[in-house]
Amino acid sequence: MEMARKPPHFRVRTVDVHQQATFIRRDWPSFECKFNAGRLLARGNVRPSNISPLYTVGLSYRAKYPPKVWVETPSLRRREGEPDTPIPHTYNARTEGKERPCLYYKTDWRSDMLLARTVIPWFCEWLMFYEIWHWTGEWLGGGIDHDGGNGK
Amino acid sequence: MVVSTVSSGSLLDVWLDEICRDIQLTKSQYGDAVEKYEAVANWLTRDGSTFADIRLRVFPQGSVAYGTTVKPRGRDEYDVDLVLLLHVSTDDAMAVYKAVRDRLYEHDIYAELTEEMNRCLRLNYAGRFHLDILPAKPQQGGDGSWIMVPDKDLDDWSPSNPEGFRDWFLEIARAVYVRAERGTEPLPAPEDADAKAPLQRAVQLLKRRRDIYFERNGDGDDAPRSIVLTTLAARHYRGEHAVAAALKSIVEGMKREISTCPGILEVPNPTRDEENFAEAWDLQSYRRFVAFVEALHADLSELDALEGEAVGERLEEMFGENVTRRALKAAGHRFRQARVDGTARVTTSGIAIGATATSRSQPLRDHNFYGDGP
Repeated sequence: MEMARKPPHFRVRTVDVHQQATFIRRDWPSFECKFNAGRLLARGNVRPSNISPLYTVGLSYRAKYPPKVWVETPSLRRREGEPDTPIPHTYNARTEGKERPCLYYKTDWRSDMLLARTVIPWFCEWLMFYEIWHWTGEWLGGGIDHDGGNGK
Repeated sequence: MVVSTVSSGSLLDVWLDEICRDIQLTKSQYGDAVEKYEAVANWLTRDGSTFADIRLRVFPQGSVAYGTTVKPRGRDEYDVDLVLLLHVSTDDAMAVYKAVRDRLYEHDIYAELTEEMNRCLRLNYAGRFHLDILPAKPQQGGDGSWIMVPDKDLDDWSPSNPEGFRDWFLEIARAVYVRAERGTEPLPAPEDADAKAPLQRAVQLLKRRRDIYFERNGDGDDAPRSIVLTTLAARHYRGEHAVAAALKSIVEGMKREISTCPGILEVPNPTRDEENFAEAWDLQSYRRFVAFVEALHADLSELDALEGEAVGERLEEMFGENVTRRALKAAGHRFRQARVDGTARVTTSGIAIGATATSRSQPLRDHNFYGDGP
């Protein structure tokens, strides 16, 4: 798969932060949403699978900017016995304790999409593959590397 | 021909499903079985055979017919069962048994492979499988599938109903079976062998757990028969779509039934109750069975309560280390493929595949994880 080309310029109807919050509250009832200077801060629980622990996670979003997500508890950690192997598909991968999941590539997400229907589900899915990576040493969720290589 | 409902669910269910795919007959083993089954059916029924002019039917029974095969541990051979139903009315059971035996001896290769068992003639394809040929005659009454099979210990006929049983089991599994009227009924096609219903998966897992448990806890000879596990599983199955849930209610049902039964449990063929599948149990072997069900119950309760890495450890202990690890990787691949195909869904309980669309679930949209891969 080629690297995605810059999409043609067209007007995207950005969903505002309050609407984003409405859908988050509806689809993910455990989430609390707060606003601060135009920024949405959502915090809640997700359980990626029927054998996963409950994670407390956070999401921060300002209209038109890429959303940021992070895991609060249980904190993300590297594989046992492999202290030098970073967690796959994270920002700040080299800095233990500061890793944040990398959920999508470029235009997978746009500001006319609902976070509740995209980013949060992808976050669950990331956590599931993170757990499987812990067990097996393999990242089985596919994805694109920073250098553009396609693991899909 | 078998049409079945594929099991579905969250990570644990898909993991268990993949464990089953790992432990069942491989496609090539299955193809091998089909070939040998058809060849011997042909030998028994064609021109020149003792039975050439007799009205007859050949059909499969056992785990290959129910879709619940499990590669046995310890010895290398699995079982393929064939019934040769001859429309004769003789009272002489041993004469029929011997006629089948003698027909096999007429064939150079089969003569080398034939072993006499109590009811069937076994072709021992050493290192591959046992092809068990059960002679039979029809019997009036019942649902039209009643048969009598020769029993050497009894020196007489013994009642049975394998077809009724198979139809009963597959109906509960919601795997529909279409019967052939005469001639040789084929084994289910290999493609169908891959898509299994939750009850079929549960039976496979019970059998696998049994194999490991009795290997570890002494006597393999005392292990409960597969037909017993299969019958009890089907009787206590409540139609769950997810394998883990199916297993749970099956084991709870078995435990309940044992506790309300004063003596040794009987496990009659539900389609013919004079046939008691558990007739071989004595006090000792029955106690071992009860302990096994207790252990199963404890396993599943623990599994329910565990999270994360501990789950994998328990599954490894229950079903075997290598099988469990391979199965998890296969499950991971399946989840990714489902996302790409558009069949993955997400709810507040997590990611699921094959789940029926409900108002509380939404599709998991395809995307690419970014950042440095491993």
